[in-house]
Amino acid sequence: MSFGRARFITGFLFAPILLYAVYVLYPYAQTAYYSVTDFSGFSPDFAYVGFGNYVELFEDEVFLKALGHNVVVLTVFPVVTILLALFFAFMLNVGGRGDKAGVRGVRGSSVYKFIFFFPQVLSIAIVAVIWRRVFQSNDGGLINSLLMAMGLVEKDKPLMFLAEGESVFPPITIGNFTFEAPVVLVCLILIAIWGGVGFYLVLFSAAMQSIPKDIFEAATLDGATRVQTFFRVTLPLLREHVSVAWVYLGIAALDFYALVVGMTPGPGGGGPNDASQVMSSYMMSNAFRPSRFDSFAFACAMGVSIAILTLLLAAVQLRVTRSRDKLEF
Amino acid sequence: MTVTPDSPSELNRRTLLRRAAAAGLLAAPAMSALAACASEDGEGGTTGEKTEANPFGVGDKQPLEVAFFNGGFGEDYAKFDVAAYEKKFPGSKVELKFSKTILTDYQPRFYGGNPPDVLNNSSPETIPVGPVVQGGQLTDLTQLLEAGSFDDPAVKVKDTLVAGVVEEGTFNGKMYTLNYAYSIYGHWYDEALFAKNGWTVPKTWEEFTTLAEAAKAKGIAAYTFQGIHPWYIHNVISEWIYKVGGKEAILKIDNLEPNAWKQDAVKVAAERIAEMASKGWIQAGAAGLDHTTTQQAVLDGKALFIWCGSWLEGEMAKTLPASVKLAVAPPWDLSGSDKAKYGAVHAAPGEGFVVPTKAKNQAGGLEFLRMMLGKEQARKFAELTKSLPVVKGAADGLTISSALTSASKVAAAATEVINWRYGGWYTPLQNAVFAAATDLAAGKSSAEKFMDAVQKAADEVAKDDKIVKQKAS
Repeated sequence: MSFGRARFITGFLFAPILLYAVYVLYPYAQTAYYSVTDFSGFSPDFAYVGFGNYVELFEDEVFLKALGHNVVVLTVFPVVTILLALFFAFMLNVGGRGDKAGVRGVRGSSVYKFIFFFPQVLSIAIVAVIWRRVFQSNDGGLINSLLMAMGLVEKDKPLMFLAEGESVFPPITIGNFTFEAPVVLVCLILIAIWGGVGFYLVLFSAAMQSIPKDIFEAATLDGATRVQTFFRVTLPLLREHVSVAWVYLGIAALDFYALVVGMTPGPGGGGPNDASQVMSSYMMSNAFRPSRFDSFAFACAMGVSIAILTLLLAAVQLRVTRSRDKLEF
Repeated sequence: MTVTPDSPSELNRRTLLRRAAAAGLLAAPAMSALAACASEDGEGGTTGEKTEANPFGVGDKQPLEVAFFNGGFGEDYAKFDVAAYEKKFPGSKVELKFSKTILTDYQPRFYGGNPPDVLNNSSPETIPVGPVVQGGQLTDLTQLLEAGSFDDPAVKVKDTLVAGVVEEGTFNGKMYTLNYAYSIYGHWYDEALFAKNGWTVPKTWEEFTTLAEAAKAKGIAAYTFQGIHPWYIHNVISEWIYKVGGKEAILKIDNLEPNAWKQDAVKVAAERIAEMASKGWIQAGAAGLDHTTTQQAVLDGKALFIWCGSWLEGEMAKTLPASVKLAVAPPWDLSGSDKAKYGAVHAAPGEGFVVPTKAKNQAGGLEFLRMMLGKEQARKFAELTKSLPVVKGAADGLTISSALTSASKVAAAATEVINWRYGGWYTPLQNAVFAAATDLAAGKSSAEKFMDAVQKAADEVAKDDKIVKQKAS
């Protein structure tokens, strides 16, 4: 009987596991293998070269710069997105006026929910087109034209936004690493936040709705303010969801490929002057725009490094935010 | 379940991995294909007899696979060529394929050892010649050059081509790429706007500065460039370096000679761009705008000059006002002692075609290219694409577009052809010029900074023994 069940399950799992093995595991293994060769991507003849690609990678100025940019994104983007999403979710579900009985969100919360979620349904190509118009660096750009109409910006000195590589704070150098936040990168982070808040708002909303109302009512009866309710009741109960969101956003921050390629200057994005280069965009520009005959292998080494960094990050974040005791309700 | 802005990137990564997977899956059959190849004869399995009309000995029953890039030149000329080939070899079936991403679609087939017989290796995603030649995967086209031409077997193919075709297609001393279209580059302007204001096209830097101030007084920027696509501005500075320093200055750069980017010619060219930026002659915010926006600025009379290739008119056809008459000018003198005289024009063959060594019908591939270089096919190309082919005199007497006429006129009057090779050979060096020249034109840099940044990149390329070095002469 149990043998039959195992066969039944195996039958169902066979196809997905096979697909997973062929299209996910096998390419991963291949990428790792190529990263220690001088594979050009074109010729089936290549040689094993050991870890030379990795050594070069961590001496490569642009890669280190890109890594620094990823770190900046990683420190800003998840935190701001989660805080905003939490705040909005709280206001939409619990933050309504206390003058009536019961716990509710602010007036018109369903409309807000729709508005916040809207960026989520747009494809990245559309997002890029819209925001390029917003940030356009002449009087045709939305922000520039507004500021020009208000007389804050001169017509012949428009703000450059996506073509501005200056850091918003003085660069901090630690050893080989330089941390800086070029204007173009800040613009991209803003767009990513705009695009991401809606999704996490819905995630947190769903989580908040699963918290029994009596808990909030009890808190209100005890005289808790909205701020107190948020920090003492809502946040602790959402711990696991925030943790999951943190991991997702961390992975997204280490990626960031589509926004860079879709919006920034230069061949394959990353400009001006590598000011918006992130690891993934640099990897792609090495994989398929090579000048060295082994640049595909070099790009594979980059891919493996990104994967390892991402896995480490996920492990650390899950560990840090792991819930110690679980409340059943 | 990731954030929307990032999910397409997942897709991209997946595409990358899928490519790798596809390449891997193809590897096994490739082994047997390789084994099969080894047992066939050295001519790639030809069956036809070599005659004057069929110099490569194409078998009449041999099928042919040709892959074209589907871009600015459209599909029509490819279909015309295929029809002509099928007419000559009625027994063979030609499989015609089009692709917008040559690299993505054909990289796995190179890896797998089953490439098409003719490949139109064209942008924006080109298969880099270096690594493929390294792997011995491209056919040396010398046999094509030495063969009798399609129209007259007494005249060799190489003698029907305009100057520069062989050099442009050469890598490691052999010609692997046949570039089929001949592009003329320069600064484009609206003749009608100039006539209306009584302006003339500047021939010296002084004339340009006077014109720039006059245009500025009217609220028109004298100059603009395709901001976020730095390839264009990198052409301007390279052209200008050639103009000031002549061929010897460019040769030093192409051959990665020490301090080639610290020459006076480079300094003058960089200073000119910096001067345009600092005096406010460049369209405001151009560094952040794309090619269509800035090109449109010239069509709309908001800017006077933009550097571009002879495809400009075709590219902007949809938004080209009827009153605008596009014309092209060669680079004006930049100093009192320019080595290249006024009239020197930047022209280069482009739109490459290759025949892979592992092609099943290699002879057919070579014959297809030989036929494309025939008079009838070349003329049809000019008619259909409004561009010049690399065949001498192919477009003579064709009056199909004012921009093409202007370009042909400039080319005919050229005192010297401006061209350079470093860009195609050394991507990291070209990328450095991209970034540094954009900074110059955006007014964020100086000639000294430009020279330092690019020289540094050039030194790194020279040191890197994984970059195959080429020799220009």
